[in-house]
Amino acid sequence: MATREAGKKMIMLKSPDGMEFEVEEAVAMESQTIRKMIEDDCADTAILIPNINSKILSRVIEYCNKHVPTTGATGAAASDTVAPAALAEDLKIWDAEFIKVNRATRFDLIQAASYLNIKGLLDLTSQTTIDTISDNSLEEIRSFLSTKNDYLPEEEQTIRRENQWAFQ
Amino acid sequence: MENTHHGRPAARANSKQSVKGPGKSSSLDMVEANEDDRLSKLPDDILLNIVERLDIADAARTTILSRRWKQIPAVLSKIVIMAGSFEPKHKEWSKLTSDDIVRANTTVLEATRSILERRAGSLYPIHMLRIQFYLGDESILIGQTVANTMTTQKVASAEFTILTKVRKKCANNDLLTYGKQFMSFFDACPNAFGGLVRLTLENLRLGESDFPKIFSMCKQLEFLSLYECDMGIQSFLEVEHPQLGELVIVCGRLERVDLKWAPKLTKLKFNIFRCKDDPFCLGYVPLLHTVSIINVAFTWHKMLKLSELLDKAAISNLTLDFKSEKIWVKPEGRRQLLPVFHKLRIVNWINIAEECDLTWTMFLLHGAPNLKELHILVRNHLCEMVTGKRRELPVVCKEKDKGLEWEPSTSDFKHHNLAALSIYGRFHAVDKLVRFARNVVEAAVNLEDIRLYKSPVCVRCKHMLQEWTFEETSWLSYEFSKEIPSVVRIHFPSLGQVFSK
Repeated sequence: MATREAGKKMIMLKSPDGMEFEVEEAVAMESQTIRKMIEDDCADTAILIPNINSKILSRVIEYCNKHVPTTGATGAAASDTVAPAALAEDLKIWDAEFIKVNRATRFDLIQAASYLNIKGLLDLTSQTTIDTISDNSLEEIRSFLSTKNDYLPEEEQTIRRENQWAFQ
Repeated sequence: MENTHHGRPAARANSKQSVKGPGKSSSLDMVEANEDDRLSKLPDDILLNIVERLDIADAARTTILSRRWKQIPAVLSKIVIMAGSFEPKHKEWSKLTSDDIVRANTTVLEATRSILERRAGSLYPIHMLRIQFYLGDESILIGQTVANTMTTQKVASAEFTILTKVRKKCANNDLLTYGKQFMSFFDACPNAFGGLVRLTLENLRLGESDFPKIFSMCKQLEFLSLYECDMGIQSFLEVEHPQLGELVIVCGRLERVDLKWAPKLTKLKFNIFRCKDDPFCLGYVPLLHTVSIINVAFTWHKMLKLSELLDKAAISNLTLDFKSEKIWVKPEGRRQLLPVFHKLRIVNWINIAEECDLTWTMFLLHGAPNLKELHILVRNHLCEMVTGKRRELPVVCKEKDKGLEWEPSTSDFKHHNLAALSIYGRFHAVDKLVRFARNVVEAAVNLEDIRLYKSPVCVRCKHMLQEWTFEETSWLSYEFSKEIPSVVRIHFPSLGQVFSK
């Protein structure tokens, strides 16, 4: 575990495609999975993050970096200098920009957020998918999710009948 | 999920490269090609996680997408079916017709059956099952479906919220009818009630033996909320329950709630009571730590003595809400209060009318040596106050701070633990608030900060979140600095959603 200036603990994250990312421990610990590794002392040198390529990992780090709480002396003291409402508003705008990615990236981000257990990122990425499901027609959802309708027509009729209450 | 970038160009930087600090990532190449059926690459648990965020009807609709999606509702761990979501949109609930209600309830029944019956024999446990429905012909069928599910699979937390067709200001006849209807539902579905962890009831007038029956049948119950539920005018409710952790009593004509034996009770909330005497009586409640009492005091209400009311408990968190009407708590001496308040750490004085003097509130500081946080909200909130012609009624108290005489036992009282003082309001009566703050600061020797907040959000009077303006903060800083020594800092944090309902 490297240490950098101002006594901030740094941690090395490695993606399976060979990239290394040096991040502050506090940023890395936005991920509950990594937090647990650090707390269990399984993170002496570098942490290999399986399954998440460097492109996605760098985006995840970007997200954590933005969302790591700005800690003052106490939580309350920090909220005096920057109004939390304004801060939250700023984050919302940032999130909205952040999530403007193509579908493939979004699905990768969902998977990464799930594996790394980063609640905020999982909420953000899932919510965009949910909005699509809630607001669009079935055909639009299928096309958004790139799902093929593999039902036989009569099967589809049965499903519709079984779930009629939901289609009212 | 070994490799998450199927079909896309490999990451450009394969060479070992160190990115110092998580800077801005390279712009993402928006590759849309070759992403056929992305979904099949999402593992089940993630798909489930997404579907569980959907409204139950949307979740059910996804079954039509493809065969894979068909399985999803059968593995949901969180099932929330609310009658409210099947009512006509944009229609206030007070304007709902009987037809609207029957239709919503029928849909709840169909949804419950279609979701739960499909899972028969499913190995996936249900972590949360919440159903909100109206008392009616459908309720028994809903109850039986839930009971069947409980016997065939694991349901960790089951919750019923049972609504009545008339929801506010029920006539006595309605209360009796709903009461009977509820009990026949209860008797028909003992297994469903036996498995409930949370239960919310409203507008029921039950028979003498019904509550004991409910308590003994609902063995798992951890949360119970009763709105306008009683056994007749001025009836006594006895609570004996091994699991109950939180009890909420709203309105109702109960004369008193006797918490005889509730070894796991931690939270107790009384919201509006009509009785002349103490609204509750504590028996064996060793774990009780949070008490909230909310009331509009009329002339017949007694001034409550906290030392008597909270006797036998050692609570840590106390909230008293006066709805901007008469103060109904009696200031008491240190000696009386110490035995009940030695563990008290947080006190919220809510909705004290602006015309009230605040000197008397100091009694609590004197009686609670371990108090850490003191929050006070001073405002005349029209949404909660008695307004219009009703103000003229003889039972409405004209003088809101009557009977609050209080003398400190010592003139040089010091409090060593108070660390936070927060004042909320519109600061119309700024002189009173400054004097109050000065009194607290003089006593609380370790208090370093005072936080001033604007009145909290109220949806009804459209009093939404407001930020302090520069003029306001400079005015208040000036007013407070006249009386408060400069070692105590005044802060103007933004309120967020504090106390909003």
